[in-house]
Amino acid sequence: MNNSVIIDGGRSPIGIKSGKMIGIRADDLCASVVQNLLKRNENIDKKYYEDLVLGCAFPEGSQGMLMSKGVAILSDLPITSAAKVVNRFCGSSMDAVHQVSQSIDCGDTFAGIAAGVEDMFQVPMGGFNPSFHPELYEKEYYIGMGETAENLAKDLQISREDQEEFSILSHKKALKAQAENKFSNEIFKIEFNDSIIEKDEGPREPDLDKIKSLNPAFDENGTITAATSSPISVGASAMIIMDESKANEMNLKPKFRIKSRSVAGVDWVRMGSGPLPATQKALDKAGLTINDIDIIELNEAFAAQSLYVIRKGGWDINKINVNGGAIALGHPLGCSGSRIIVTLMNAMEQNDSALGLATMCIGTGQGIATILERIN
Amino acid sequence: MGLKIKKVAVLGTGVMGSQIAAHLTNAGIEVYAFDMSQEVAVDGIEKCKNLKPAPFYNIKSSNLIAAVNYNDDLEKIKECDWVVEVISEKLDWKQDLYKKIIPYIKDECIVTSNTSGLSLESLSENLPDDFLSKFFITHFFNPPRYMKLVEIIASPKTNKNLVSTMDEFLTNVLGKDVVHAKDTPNFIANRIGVYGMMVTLHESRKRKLSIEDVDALTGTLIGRPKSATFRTADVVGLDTMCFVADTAYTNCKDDPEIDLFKLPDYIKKMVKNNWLGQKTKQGFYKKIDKGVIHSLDLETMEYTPIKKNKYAAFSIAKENTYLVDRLNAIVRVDDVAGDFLWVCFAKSLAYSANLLGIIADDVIGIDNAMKGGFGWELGPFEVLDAIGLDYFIDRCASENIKLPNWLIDMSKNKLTSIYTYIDGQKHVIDFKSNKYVPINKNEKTIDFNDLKINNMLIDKHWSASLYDLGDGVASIKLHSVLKPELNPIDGSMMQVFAKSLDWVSSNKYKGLVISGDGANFCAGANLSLILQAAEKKDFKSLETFIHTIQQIFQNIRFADFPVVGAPYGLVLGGGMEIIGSCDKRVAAAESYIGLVEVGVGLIPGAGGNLRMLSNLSKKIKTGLTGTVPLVQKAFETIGFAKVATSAKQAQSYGYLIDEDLIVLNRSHILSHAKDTVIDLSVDYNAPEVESFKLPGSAGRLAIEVQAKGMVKAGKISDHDALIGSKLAYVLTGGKKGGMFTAVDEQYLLDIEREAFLSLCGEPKTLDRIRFMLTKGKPLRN
Repeated sequence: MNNSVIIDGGRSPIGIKSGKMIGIRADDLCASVVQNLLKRNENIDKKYYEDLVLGCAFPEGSQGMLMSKGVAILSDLPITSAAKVVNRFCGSSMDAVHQVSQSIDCGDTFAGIAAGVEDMFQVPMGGFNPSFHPELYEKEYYIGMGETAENLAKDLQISREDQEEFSILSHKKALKAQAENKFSNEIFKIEFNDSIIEKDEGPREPDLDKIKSLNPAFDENGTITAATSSPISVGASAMIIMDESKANEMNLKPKFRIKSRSVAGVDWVRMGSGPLPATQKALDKAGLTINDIDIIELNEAFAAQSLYVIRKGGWDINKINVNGGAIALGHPLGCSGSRIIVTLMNAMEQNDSALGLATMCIGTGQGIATILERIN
Repeated sequence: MGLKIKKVAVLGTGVMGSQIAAHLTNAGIEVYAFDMSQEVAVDGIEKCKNLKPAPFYNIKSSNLIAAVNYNDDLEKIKECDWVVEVISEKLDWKQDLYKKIIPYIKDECIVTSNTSGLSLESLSENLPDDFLSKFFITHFFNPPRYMKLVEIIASPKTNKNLVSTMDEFLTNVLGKDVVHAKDTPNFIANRIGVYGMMVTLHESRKRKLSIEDVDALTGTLIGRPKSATFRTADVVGLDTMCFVADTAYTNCKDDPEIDLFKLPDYIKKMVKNNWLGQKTKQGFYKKIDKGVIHSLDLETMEYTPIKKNKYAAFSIAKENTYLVDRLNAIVRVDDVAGDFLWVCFAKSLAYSANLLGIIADDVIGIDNAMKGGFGWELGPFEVLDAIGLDYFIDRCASENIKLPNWLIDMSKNKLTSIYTYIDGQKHVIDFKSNKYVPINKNEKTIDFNDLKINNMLIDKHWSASLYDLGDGVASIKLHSVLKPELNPIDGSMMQVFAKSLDWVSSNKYKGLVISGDGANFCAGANLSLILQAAEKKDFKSLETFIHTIQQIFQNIRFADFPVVGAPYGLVLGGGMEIIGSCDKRVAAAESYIGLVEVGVGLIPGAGGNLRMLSNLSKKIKTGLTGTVPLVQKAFETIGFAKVATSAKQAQSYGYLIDEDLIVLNRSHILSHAKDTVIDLSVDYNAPEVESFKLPGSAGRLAIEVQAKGMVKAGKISDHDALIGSKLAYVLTGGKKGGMFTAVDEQYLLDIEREAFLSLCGEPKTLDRIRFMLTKGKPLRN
């Protein structure tokens, strides 16, 4: 079997409500990231990209009509490049990475682009025309995400204070990373409406009084507030994945090997626990334990959900999201999976780590995980 | 000739200037809003967008305003048909500005000042005659969207054609009541209004009446705004009030009542203490805690808890629904409040009468100024008629209140009222000749009272009547016997509706208008009736009642002639359902439309849900009919009991459709509605029964999930969620609904009625109704 490696990855800044990115088209945004990525890797002939696999959680409206092929065209990929859209809700673009990697491993292709995008402002969560199954409704399949996180908070009695502390830390880490230009290699600036957007719009100096004053957002008697949830956002990410031996042949000096991939199902009313079984599977496949992992990107859907995974799994909190997580940066659903892998790669280089884990929870009760190994 | 005002320059973007600009855009007029710098101009317009009450009908119209500045953009004045100056009340500033713009004013153009304190004479000094022919005063009242009055003050040099162009524009396009005033200090409304205020202050102090008692006596009880005397002062600000009173004191040198404009000591003290009212958080009233308001005790100058005394006037108010009867009785009461009110009225009326010929040419000018500028329900001379002319003259004589000769002569000439009808036409006294002269009416104004006098009343019932509007058009006038100010739907109204449909049909009339002439079109169903039946668990008669209303409304819809609704003011619940069943609506711009049943624990029961689905299907043409977004919008609008704050906003909510006509001048809706009936009656065909593709249970569940989430988050109550689920059931088409199974109007009405009745059986719904009936606001339970 072949081995897939990541040649390079990048992303857009992540925009939030009332920010400068509101109104940008998802396909344009994604194409701009792909174009920048291709430009940075001009030495690779575009004809090698056989497939563009694009993750998107709500592929309808402006994100519909098989957006991936549209993005391929807008990115000036050759007409011979194929394209598909992958939907695994929040895990969509991590799944895109997996699919490109899988097709390389089995020898179907030898290079491809995995990408992700979501514009949660133009296409609302739930889509435009929801239609619910009565039986699934009874089984609480359509439960709100915030409520599932409240369930986790209750299970482990994760206090509001702890969640707030976790969220504040996320912002502080992100601000520090911004100040130290830690994102300079991963973010491609965006031009839109006569302005240039170069950094994530989410991170800000926490306003403690404001944070303390917020009412619970999902459960009157609960602990989760807007400040301890990831914000609605817009963003895109992409990466080039290739067969390791071909990459070496082409003298591309790949830096990251995809060591293992996994998905797992959990109870949907506790969907936030998904990273635990998914990570375990990925570790098992790689013959590793969580202690072998040097650095972790755990998607912060909610502080309560992240703390649940960290505490239940006995993870070292200092290894997690060293440059800040989704609570500060934003969580554009379909973009986030490959976004956290891109962020992970940069953090691994910055911290000289050998093994890295990217994992996330998925609405409807799933988890997904990817383990990367740095190639020296 | 034929200047048409299409583009306007507003000079000054302060509170008044920006709001005038906003109201121009309400009428679809393009505006250049000028100020000293670009920043100031932009800032002024931005601030205006957030003012309360909203100056814009719909915030979207603000894009008709271009903020500009005097340094770069004076050339733009060349494009404008009207330039209105609204800068600070400083004579030299204003004059400098006129000189600056003169080179840019086009030949056919009107220039006006919105001054309230400066005279036209002083503004005109040393300006060229050519400019003066175009120049006069248009005095708007704050807030200009809501206050109907505009006083026009012109000089002999002013081109009369331009004045009448402006008169027409203000009346027909901006919906204002224009009064022509003379160039005297404070013009008409402020002159008399401030006098009335000062009289009230003095007379109430004389009798040591408390702040709260004076407000209880001088508000809606006597047909004045709810904020009455002292609360108005707090809202306006004591500093502003002092400024206006001072202006009168300084300028009205010949006024025999000049001493009255001297400010009492306690007001001076309050200003010194910075107790200016709302802006400094305390004035005559002070908010002590949430929901606890104290009033100033003028004896001790300390804030004390509010305690209201009982006066005979209050029980009179309960017995007399109509203001005219109320006023007549109140001034005759022999207690301190009756005496106080009499003196306030008598002095104000005498003051107005004495100023006739000095500040205005006729009594109508004064009456209209006070109604439009101060929100009085009746003008001073209409109040005089209400009190009774002979009684008034006799009592004034005995109390040494000086009246002008013309008024006393009226009595001698055996004329018993200021206004009267002669040969079916309304007349008013001409004070110079002491004879009645006919009132010239705007041709677009149709008055039900005139029709009644002229035997155009076809059928009269307790709460509604059928009138003949002429030209083959009939009109139902709503006038609830119990609450004429709100016109709740009752049996009498429904009888008139049913009979009127037959009458129009059998008399081969062209069609029917539904309207009224009170403060509000219709604020919904008669809740007491529903409550009584529900408490007795008499669901049978409740069902019959609802069913009958539904049928009558459907009969309106499918009548073989056009029916046009002409709403204004509050159009809530059943009110919306009445107009919803019409072919078309001609709405006053100030119509506040909403389906608010959820507030009393119900959902619309007389076709409201059906109308919303129908209206929104027309509006949201991009989506497939019956998809969740459309239902979702209807659900949110009805579920949150949204009330539109203008007819324009009602169009965006879906209470009105884009084809409906919006008329800025409330007095013109009846005539526009009549014209609309005539237009529609040509080759009229009744509409076809509509059917709807609705999402059914799959969509209902999607909506219910959100409601469940909101209950959990504490945003809505369990009872809200129950009402929400019934509403979702109806709006998604009940059991029959589904993308491939269209449901018709009758099915929707049936499930709506069923849901309505089941909510009537819910104790928490009845609690809501009781609370609304006793407290006048919704209960959250």
